[in-house]
Amino acid sequence: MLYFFLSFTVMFIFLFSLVFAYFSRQIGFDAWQKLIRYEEICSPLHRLDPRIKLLFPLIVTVSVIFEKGVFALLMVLFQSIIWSYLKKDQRRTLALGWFFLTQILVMTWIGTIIQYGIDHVFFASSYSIFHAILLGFILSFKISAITSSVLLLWLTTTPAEIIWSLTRFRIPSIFGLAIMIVLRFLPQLIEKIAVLPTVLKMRGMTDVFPTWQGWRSYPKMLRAWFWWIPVLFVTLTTRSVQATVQLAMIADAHAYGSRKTSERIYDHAVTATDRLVFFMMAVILIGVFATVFLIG
Amino acid sequence: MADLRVEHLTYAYPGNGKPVLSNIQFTIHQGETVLFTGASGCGKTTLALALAGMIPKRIMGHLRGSIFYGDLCITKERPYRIARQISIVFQNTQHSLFHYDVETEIAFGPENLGLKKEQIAARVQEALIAMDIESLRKRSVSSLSPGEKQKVALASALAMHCDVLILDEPSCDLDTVSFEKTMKGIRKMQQERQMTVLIFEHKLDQVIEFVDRVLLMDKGHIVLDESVRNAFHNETLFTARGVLVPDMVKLSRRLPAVFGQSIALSVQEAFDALNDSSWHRKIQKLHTQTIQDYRQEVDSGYPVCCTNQSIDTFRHLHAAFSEHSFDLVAGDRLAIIGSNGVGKSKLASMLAGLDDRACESKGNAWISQSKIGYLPQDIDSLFLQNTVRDELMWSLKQSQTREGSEQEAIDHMLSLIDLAQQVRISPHSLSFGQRKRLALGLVMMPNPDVLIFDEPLTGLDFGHVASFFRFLHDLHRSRASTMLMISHDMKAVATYAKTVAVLHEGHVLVQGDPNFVFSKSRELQLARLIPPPIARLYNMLTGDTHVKTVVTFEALLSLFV
Repeated sequence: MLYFFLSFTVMFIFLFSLVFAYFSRQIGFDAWQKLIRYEEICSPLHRLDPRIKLLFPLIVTVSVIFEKGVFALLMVLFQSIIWSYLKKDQRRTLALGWFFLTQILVMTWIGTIIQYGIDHVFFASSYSIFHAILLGFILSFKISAITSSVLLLWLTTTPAEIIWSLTRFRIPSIFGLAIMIVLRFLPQLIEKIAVLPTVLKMRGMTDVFPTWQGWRSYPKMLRAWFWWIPVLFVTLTTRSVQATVQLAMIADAHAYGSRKTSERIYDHAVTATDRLVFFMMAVILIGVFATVFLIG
Repeated sequence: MADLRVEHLTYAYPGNGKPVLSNIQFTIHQGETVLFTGASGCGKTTLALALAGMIPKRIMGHLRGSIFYGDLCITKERPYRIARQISIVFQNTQHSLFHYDVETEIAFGPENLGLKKEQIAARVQEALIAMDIESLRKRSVSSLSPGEKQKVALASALAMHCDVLILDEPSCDLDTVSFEKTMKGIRKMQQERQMTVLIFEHKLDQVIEFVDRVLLMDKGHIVLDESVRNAFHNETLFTARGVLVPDMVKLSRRLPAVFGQSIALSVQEAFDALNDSSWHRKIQKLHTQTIQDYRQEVDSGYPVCCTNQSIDTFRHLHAAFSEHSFDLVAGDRLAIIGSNGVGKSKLASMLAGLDDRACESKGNAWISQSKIGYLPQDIDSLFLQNTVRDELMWSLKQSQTREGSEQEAIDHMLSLIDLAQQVRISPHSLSFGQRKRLALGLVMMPNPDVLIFDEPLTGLDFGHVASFFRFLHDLHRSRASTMLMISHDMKAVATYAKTVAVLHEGHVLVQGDPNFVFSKSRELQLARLIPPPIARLYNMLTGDTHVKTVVTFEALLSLFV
């Protein structure tokens, strides 16, 4: 247990937070906001039927859960092409690259610990470390495929489009609101993390992030981080929860859910591209399930 | 359309045994405009949320009693069903917008009412016109200034065509012209549709002429429920609770020979009463003498505009506002005023070194030395700790010029911001006014040399505004600190600022002492600003010969007596 605790706490919660802070300082904390905000550009992806964009993360999630890893790898590659097409902002590209690199490293590490550690400690399995790393690697690709699809949804779809899609799917408003809140929670948290350096400046602190030149302040800084991380995590999470509760109140104040069907000022006329993309998604889904259940 | 009845309403927040609302009981008749006022933390916002049905369905707690709108029991019904009849504009509109752009934000309510697309579009258009924000239609919500966001939130509520409209501190982020326009627009809609309007506000000067009835709250109780013309017989009832009686009402009561038993609610009413009276002639005569004296002062070098001894900090302004600049004299109390969206908050963040494009390197250095204290408009982002005490302790640790023990410093600040009773409470559980006071405490805790406040007075009642400026005055005497304040509260600006700068389209339109600036009706009109009521009345009484006006009630009264 100590082994797990040390591996997890020291390596990730502490060390990765510092590395995260260092890298964020280099690209600017507000670059993270660029990953979770809608970007108003006119791309084919933006023009796509919002229902397709809403379904896409769902299909990716279901698919990568059931298949063994090849589809996840293909999905990551496919989405990389989309991201490179949407490449408009260098800082966003940097943030995106760093985000996926960290995610792959973290998930590979966690996957390896779980596979290798648990199997050896509890089941005396004969898994080799190479095999465990491979499984960790596959896990990281699966998670990356899912997060990337959600990021694409945030980047290309407005709340009005999501609500329109939910209305068209005839999803009851209570579930619609839940989906909206889930989709908003993480961006709320990231927004709050992104403004944190500015807040710390306002509160009179500037020496909280490492610089190579200021190595003498490392012990003081590390000690501060050790205490702040849990405090800030709790505070930021609490505030994000409060913000999402407020979001529910705002939806209530606008009578969201008071009528079963309604027309929206935003409307989308289905195009040939929409039909083609929808057909391709269906083929992919069927293909994945056929591979999993028929071929094995 | 129906009456709104509150029956023995008592409410306490979860984990807090002390009720915020205690046995509240009143009836509001259809078509009335009612003002709920009281000091910050007296329960106004809680009552507003309860009337909108958010309590207890969205905000849990211990609730007794009932609220009825006609036969609809608000305390039992789901909030989104209540919203078909009762609409609320929340106090903090910065985080109260749901959609990406203005048009879909305003359309959201009508859409949910099940209207046809054409009707939705018509409602959006009507609301945009009512709030004078047609130019913002396609703008993204995140690109709007706080004042513009408040206008969008108001438009969004108006578009729902509700029977009851609840406004929680509507003057909070709006400039004076926008606020007056908003209130006139709401009054027009109210007369057309017999809408009931409930306004929760503690700054009465601008709002009082639009209301029919006043309810004064104190510690969760209703202590006064009167028609607006009868509400101010006992002024101490208000002032003792941190609510400032409107200037025109005070003037009416100080000059019974002019006003008799009636009271003036607006500047126009006061002017009508005074017009062509012996008092009017007296003022005009004194004004002629004042102008002559003033011209002599100017000829002999009286500093109308401050130009010397500027602090280096503010030279950075020249980069962003290149055509014109202003100087901040060391030890000055400068107020920057301007309409919504003119760039005041951006300017403040630049000066505080938070905007990289303006003054990155020096700004950081100054802040690390605790030389600049900056209070942003969005105060909630400032809180990082679990209790009020921890927050103050965190700020105290940044202080490099600490005197006395930590405990003494914190106790002193707690008494100053009047939060000694809330020391172990989470900042997020405080009322908006209390949070504002805490944020001010955090900024002032390290005793900075330069204080930059972005809308420091929103949410603060008169008592707390006075104690806040008293503290600044003491700080100024002991450390010659300098203050820059951005505010829409013209009355506070006129009373407490030494210098006022009017910002318009990226440059300073006029700058000088408040008496000088508030006499410049034409420039203020161009900048979409209205002078404080006393200055307006004085300007109206003295005609168009403005080089200097009177801005405080005491100064005007001294001319009459």
